[in-house]
Amino acid sequence: MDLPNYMLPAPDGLPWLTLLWLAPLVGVLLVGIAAWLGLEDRVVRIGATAWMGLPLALAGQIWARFDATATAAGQGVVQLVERVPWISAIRVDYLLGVDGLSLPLLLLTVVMGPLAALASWSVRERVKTHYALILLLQSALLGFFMALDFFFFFIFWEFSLVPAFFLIQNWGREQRRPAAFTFFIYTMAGSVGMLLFFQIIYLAMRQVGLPTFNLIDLGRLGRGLEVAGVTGNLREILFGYMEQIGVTGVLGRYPLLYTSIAFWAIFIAFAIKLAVWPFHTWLPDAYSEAPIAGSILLSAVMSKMGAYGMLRIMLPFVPDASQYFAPLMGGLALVGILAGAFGALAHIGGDLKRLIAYTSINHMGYVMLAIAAAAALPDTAGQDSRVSALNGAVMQLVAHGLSTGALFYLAGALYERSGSWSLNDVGGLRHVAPTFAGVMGVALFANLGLPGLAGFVGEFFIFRGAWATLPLFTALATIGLVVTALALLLMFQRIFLGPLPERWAALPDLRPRELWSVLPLLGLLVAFGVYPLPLLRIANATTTELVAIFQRLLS
Amino acid sequence: MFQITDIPRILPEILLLFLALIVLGSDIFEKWGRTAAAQLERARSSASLTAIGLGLIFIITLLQSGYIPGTVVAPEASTTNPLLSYLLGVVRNLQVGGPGGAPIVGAFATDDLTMIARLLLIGAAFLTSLLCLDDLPTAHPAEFYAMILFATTGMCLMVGAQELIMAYLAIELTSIPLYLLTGYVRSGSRSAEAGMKYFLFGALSSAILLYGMSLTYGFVASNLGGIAVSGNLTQFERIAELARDGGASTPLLTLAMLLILAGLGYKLAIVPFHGWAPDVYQAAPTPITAFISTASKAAGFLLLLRLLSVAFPESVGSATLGATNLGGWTAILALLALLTLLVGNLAALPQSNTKRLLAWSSVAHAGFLLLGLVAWAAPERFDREQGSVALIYYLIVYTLTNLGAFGALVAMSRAGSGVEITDLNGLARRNLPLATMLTICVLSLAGIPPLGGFFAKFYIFMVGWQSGAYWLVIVALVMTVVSLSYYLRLLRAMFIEAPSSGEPLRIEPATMTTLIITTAGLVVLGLFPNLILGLIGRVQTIAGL
Repeated sequence: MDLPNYMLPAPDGLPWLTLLWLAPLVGVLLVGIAAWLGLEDRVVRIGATAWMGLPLALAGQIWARFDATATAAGQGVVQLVERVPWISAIRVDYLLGVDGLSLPLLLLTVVMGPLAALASWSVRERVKTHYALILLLQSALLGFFMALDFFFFFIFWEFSLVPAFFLIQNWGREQRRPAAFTFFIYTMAGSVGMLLFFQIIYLAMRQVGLPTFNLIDLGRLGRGLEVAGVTGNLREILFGYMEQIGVTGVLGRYPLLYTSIAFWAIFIAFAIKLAVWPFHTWLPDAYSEAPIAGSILLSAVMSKMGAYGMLRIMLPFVPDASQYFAPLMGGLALVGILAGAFGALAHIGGDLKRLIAYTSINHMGYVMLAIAAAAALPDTAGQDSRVSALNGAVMQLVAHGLSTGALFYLAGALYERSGSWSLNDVGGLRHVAPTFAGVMGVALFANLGLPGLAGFVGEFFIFRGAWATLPLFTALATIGLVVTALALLLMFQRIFLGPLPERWAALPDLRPRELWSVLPLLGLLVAFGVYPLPLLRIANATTTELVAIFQRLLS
Repeated sequence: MFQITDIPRILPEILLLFLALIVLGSDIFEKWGRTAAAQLERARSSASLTAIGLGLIFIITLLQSGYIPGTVVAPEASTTNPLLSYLLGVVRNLQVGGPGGAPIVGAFATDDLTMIARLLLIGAAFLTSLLCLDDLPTAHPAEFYAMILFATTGMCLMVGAQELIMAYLAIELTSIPLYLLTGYVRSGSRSAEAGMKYFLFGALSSAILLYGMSLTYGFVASNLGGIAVSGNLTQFERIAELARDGGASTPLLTLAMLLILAGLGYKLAIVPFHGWAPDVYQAAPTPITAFISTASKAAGFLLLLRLLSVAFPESVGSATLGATNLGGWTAILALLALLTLLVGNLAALPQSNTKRLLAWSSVAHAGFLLLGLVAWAAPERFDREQGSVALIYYLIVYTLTNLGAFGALVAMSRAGSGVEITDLNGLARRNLPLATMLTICVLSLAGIPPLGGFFAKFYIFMVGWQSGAYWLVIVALVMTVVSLSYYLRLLRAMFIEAPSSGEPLRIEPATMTTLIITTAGLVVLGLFPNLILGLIGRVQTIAGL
């Protein structure tokens, strides 16, 4: 199959990406066979966890084959592309590929998989189903980050809800039912507008002779780059189509209006997933009511789907509307940052998981701020500011995934010991569980962005980049930094410092298995904190080309 | 003129009738004992005869259609092996009657639309008979199965009808056995009541339909000024031809069309003609509910497609708000679709009985299906064809889904469980395969990727949008989200709630087979829609719609 020069197949011609998302699916099958053979839960537990190593290894292979510096025709080259015609009637292709935006998140997903599996060792009922669902969720998430045809993108997007729904519903805490329900309905309802938008885009593209659901090609058109001989601009194509079907007669002849409608259709879908204020209301419930493995995958990976969608679809498709609404996005981000921070602070005497959930809202706010800043108007900002904002966002996504994953894992471990989620019930544990305290401390400092740990790099780049375009919001957002730090430190204090209550005198420290589950994450957090280049390098070429459109729009 | 060579073209219908007669006739030779064992024996022989016969007819029809790559026998193909040569001859003769050719005596078209519909309908009847195999009627079993076969014959004739009288007769041949089947369980008062209700509504709708048809006939005859020479006054194409010429009596034709739409609307359970549907669906024996809600609806929609597109292409109109040509049957159907979507989905929300919930969801799905017909408002031929493709794809997926979902209910009631939603509680713990398969069906109904239901909705929304009925597509999208809440309730009951009894639930092998076929079909069609889209695409190129 002919590929344009901005898409490259794998150098060795192997379908690495298909193998990657099929690997967990085969794991589901194996769990099914194990259930059929009536194997013990213990075997399934070890087997499924070990199986998680396979996607990890495959992703490593993919990283090794990825050329981070390649750019062509005005964008980062999409690599290891696989393309098979799928539904010829509506020109759907089975199109997978990775570029600088998707690879970091793929790596994050394969790293969090084993952690989620290890966190589920404490699950006692319906163990096999639990592991099957985790593997299924991982498969859907991996597929989502690789799919470059909207049809498959949407399939993975929606399908990831199903295992997550069942994970929350079946193994969650007391209030799990409404939480799972809200989570499912919110995401589903939010994406309806996006689904409609893509159908319209497809029909509009048919008018210019290039019917397609190809996200890369559409993104190129959105940025005014040439695709297969078509040189138009998505904005004009959309406007032309609206004119043709007579909508302009009703709503007026303003091209920006139609890209704005498109912008909102896309933005709402992804903002719900990313939990941008005021679309975040499902998040505290879902995170806190989910079982630990669910919390880990939800917070560390699933919320990243929203940011990825914005970078993959929103910015390139409707750059003009993104620019127009950038201050608004920045404002929402700011409110989210502050609301998340104070929300976390409000829970220092309450539910540990809720506290971490609120810090997640706060951290995703920084990502939203970075995306807004990359698109925002002021022409005083150079391209480097926009790039560093986006690079920071990617870094923050990975760092937050690692640190929140670790925090949720440790929260689960704490609950196993104390049997309570409330921060009022614990205290002084440092005396009996020093390793626990140390490990949690590192995860927590990485989360709040202490220099030397990965969280700092992400936040530093975001603030550095956002300062140039949205100085006021950026300045106010620093309040969020302080308050989150306060909340997390108070949390640490509540758990580990102070006098040790009598009843926890025999509380066991971290077991070797638990320690070795978290240590790799901490290692990565430290490694990326000290030397973030490998990760930044992956994203840099893609983001540099992506923000070029915002520079062009100004001139 | 009917020619002897036309016989292979209606072979599936002939075989269905023949099978029905064999089922009836062979019953005479059974032992008519009064003991339970003897009754079971008698019922089982009828049931297996029907199932095997339908399976064979399905295979023959499939061979005849030549849709399976590699089964098409070229005219010059020959072999020296005598047995192979004989088989080759049989298949070649079968395929002579394959899709194509002018309508038989101007009344029955055997094009690709008919062929695909036959496969769908006979397939649905086959799966229904498999469901019945486990849910045996004890009284007059042969009649029960013969009724299913007669109804199937009627449906096959319905989708091929190119002429009003043929259409009407086919509808009646379908409906009358279905009334009887609905009221078959005479021991329970609900089934009998539902049968009566279905019959009364059906008779009323037939009257309305017939009234519309006779007005159409009057229009044609009066336009010809009494100089009709051939007996083709009721042919669809003839009606269109005369309508094109116009004339003073065009309002009459519009009235006739409205009456026909209303009459067919009753059969399809489109709001506001849906009053009978929930009661009938709930009270009929479950396999029959599955049959009515799928095959009968599919046949009705395909008849509607052929009737409206061939006989009334002049009054297509448009469903776009603000368009100058707003009106015509697409606008009416769009309005009906709006009502159907709203009422069907909202009424399904508070249901506590699974069967009734699925009944309302069937009503709602008719609303989505109507979008495929509304697509005829599109100015370009290509888009209209897409509309029909989307409609047929949706019908196939919907038939599989509903047969699977009702099949799961059959399995449950066979195992002695009720069909309230609370009876689904903890099904996953009582029988995980059954719960999984029902989940797949329910998720497909809800339109969750990657199942068939998702692509069906995706496609039909797109053609609906292209036709200009933007408002309708948006309502349909919103209603998809609303529908999630009642579908999720089913899932929650199955997987989350504690089971009412800890006993594992046993499924009978035939029901299991049905469920496996339907769910596998949903997954395969969802992942590889290309498998059948090319085939469905032929409908237009050859049918010459």
